[in-house]
Amino acid sequence: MIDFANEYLIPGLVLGSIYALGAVGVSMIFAILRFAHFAHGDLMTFGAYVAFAVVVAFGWPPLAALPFAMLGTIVAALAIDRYVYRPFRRSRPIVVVIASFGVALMIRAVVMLVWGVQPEPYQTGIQPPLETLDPLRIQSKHLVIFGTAIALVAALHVLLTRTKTGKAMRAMSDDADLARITGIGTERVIAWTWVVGAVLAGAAGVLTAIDTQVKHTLGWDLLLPLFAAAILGGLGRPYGAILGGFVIGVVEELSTYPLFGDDPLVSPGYKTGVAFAIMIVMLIWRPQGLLRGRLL
Amino acid sequence: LELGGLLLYFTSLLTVAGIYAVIALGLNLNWGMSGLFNVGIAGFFAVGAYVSALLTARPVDAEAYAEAAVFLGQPAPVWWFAGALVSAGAAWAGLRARRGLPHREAAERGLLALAVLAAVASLGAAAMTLRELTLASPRAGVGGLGLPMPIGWVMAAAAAALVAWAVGRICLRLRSDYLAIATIGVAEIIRLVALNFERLTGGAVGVRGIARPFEGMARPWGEIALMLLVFAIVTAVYAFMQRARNSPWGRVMRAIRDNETAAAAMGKDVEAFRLQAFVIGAAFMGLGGALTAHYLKILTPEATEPLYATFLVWVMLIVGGSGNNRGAILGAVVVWIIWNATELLSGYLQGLGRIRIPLELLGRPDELVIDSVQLALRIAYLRMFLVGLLLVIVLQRFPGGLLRERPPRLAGERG
Repeated sequence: MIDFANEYLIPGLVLGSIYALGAVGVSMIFAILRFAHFAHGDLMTFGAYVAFAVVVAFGWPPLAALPFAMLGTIVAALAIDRYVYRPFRRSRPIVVVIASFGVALMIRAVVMLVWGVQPEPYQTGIQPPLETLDPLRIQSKHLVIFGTAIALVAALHVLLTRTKTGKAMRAMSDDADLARITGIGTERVIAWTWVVGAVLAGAAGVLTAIDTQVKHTLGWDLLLPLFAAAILGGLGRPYGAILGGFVIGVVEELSTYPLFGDDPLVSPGYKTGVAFAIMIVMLIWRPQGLLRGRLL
Repeated sequence: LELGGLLLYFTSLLTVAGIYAVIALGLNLNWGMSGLFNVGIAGFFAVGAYVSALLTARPVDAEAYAEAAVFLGQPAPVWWFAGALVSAGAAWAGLRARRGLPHREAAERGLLALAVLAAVASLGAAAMTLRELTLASPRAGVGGLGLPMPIGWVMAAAAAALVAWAVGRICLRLRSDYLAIATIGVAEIIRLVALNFERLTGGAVGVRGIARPFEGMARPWGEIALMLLVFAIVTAVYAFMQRARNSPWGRVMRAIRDNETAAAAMGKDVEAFRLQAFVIGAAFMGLGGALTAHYLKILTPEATEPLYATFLVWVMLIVGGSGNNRGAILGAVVVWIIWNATELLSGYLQGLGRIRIPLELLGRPDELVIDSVQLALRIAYLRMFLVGLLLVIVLQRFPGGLLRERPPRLAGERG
């Protein structure tokens, strides 16, 4: 039982907390701007590398570099929205999707141009698991990732329920036309959506890099699970996206559990396929997601 | 560069541009004519590439192959191709019979049963062959059927079409954004299979020893002949696509693309038409994959990277002009030339040695030393940025692309 928790449940929750952070942005952008943002993964990569630069320059721990990563990602996201996506506001959403592929390429190119393609960890050396929690073996970095994610989710909750901006965002993701009639400023909400999405994406990027290492395909590789999580939770439902993220993360890890005999149920190489399978099943049977999100 | 080198350079440039043109024409059928947002080109490309490579590669261990794969004096592949042919024919006949009178139902059932039986048998034979081969020599699973190249190419297109059919049945009912996510997922899964199913695909090492057409000919002539062959294929595909575009079928596809509800109200089976366009487009992507595999002679999962096999093709189609077949070809050539021009730039930079920039202006006594080899490597990434930028600029400023779509005139319409 303890082995099960150590080897499958805890990695699943760690992965899930990263997915949750990324999926919230994907889900909100889908609902408010009405397009699938394929550059979201690369925004995560960008955030991870901003933190990497700070870590290298000042020798700080990665967590201290987190605010800089978030700030950098916000600036990048707002600039991209201003110069790439805004001119498309009135055209068909599918054109913006194509443009977002272009943006994904551009962000990744900048990352490769500045930092190269060699994957690098934030900090070298093996971290022993924390001894206080024995027999649970939790590495301190996993605790950091999970804790940061929970803190950010709590902050998101406060923003969405206690502030006017957050309520406007929820209203707009529920029904954009109705929100506009009641006098909610569209562009302001869009800008806040990018800020929230970018903060969470930047954080998710840094957390992923803390768990593994920074590399230029870091975010792109996560894109599929992010969309799966957003769709599973229901598009436009931030809480659904968080739930979806955790479900996808845990299921992905559990899928390698040797349920029959000694071989893993799904060979680890195909883990990403599990997220995809869940997504396809959801799209066919319940496209509105678990929490009844919107359908485009 | 001397003249001979220059000739070879342009031959290879145009050969690859031609292969890209085939894929871009396939995408034009998907997106330009039918509005299907297929971002999984890399997947269909990979299926085609691997199928053709595996079917045509020379046997790794000829003796083991000969011992394991002969049945009634015929090599096993012959048997399972015969089985596949019989089953396809029977299925076709069965489907034809379904359109006939009710009393044909018995014949139809029998034919379908036969088809299923033959398909199962041939698949079983194929699996047995592969198993025998892998047992005979551990690495023989990679390739080693030694079939002629044209069969490989046709099977590549057929396999890509088959995968597209399965994907389309499930995903085409989804709205465009969802279809994009689904196709990108399929491509990712196929890449995972290519990477992890080592017995079949050779994993990260890939498939080697793939035959290239005309490789027996002397140095420049073989390359030139291959280029001409690719041009001929592009021409044939272009003629096919123009025919599709001008036909009533093409008209229905445009109607569905521009107003799905209206097309459905006119009695068109939207889902069936979409599936046809999706499958046929994917077949040409598979053909493009096969041509690439045979051109490169080795095939690794890296060759099916989404960057090369998906995004570049999208940029080509958007820049050239989606909906326009000539635009797809022009876009493929133009974008591929731009893509390669940056390579020349980085080649030039590599020759510069160390570049020293004094930092006096910043008030520092030292100087910034840039290793030009490193810089040249980085410049190679710059083109990725430029291609992304090109895509965004074309979408924002010139949404029609270089050659705008000009739908064929309808009967009775004045030009």
